Amino acid sequence: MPRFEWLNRIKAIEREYAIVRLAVDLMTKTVVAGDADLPPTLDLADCRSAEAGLAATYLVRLFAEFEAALRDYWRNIRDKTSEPPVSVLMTSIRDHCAIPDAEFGEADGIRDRRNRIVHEGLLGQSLDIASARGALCAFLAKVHRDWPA
Amino acid sequence: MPTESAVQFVSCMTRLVSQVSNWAAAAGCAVQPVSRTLRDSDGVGYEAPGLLLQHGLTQFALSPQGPGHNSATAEFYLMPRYDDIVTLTYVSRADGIDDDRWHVLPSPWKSGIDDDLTATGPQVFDERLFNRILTVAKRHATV
Repeated sequence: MPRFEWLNRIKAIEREYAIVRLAVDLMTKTVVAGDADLPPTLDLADCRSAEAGLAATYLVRLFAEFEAALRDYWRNIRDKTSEPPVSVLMTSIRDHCAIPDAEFGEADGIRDRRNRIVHEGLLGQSLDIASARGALCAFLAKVHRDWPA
Repeated sequence: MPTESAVQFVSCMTRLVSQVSNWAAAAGCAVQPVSRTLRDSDGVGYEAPGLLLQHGLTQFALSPQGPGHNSATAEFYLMPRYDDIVTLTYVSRADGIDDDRWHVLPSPWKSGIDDDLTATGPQVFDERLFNRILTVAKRHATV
């Protein structure tokens, strides 16, 4: 798949996050005001929980799309059949494409945050989805060798 | 077959891409046509045209977003981070609202960097405004 498609797929997840964030915030306000018709099994605590975990959930999705893009490049452009762990994949692509340390470090930082969310359940940390999208897109934009736009 | 709405959107984007390509070439930009796969309201995939533009070290993209009710949306993104610059919206004359032209709107997202492009509200997207978008892109560019 061309790189432009992958950049747009990552961007689409950020836009989806923005919409869901608005919806959850609105629902929470409605519940606080006592105007929501929630099912009996749900209450304000569930709204707060959804708010708290939203950015972490979308960061995991952003990174999954980024990883899928790298694996697509690995298989279809580099013609590799191996399936290395994503950290090895990123390092190999960095070395092959001479991706600068700044771009690699920022994207690798997102990988680390994703790992802490997935493996340690850290949802409460402040996460900026736009910054995460920027870091992952900047890495992909530097993967230019032989990857059609 | 994609829906009629999707077909009209592709036609609308094709005209926009052609127009922007001409303005970009006049401004000294290198232009590369690209396409994006979108899905219509029935889930059928179709290709919509977009553009990658480069002026010096500044790269930005024109990305098709999709059709709405008698309307269409595209976005300018600044490369390499894909930050929002501005949103372009087209409203068809069939709606009786507008005059078949694209308009520039502020980016609805917090990460938008549209500066004062839309300070006076929606504006008709013309060559002058394209050149202002190019200026903003260059001001915010990171290589």
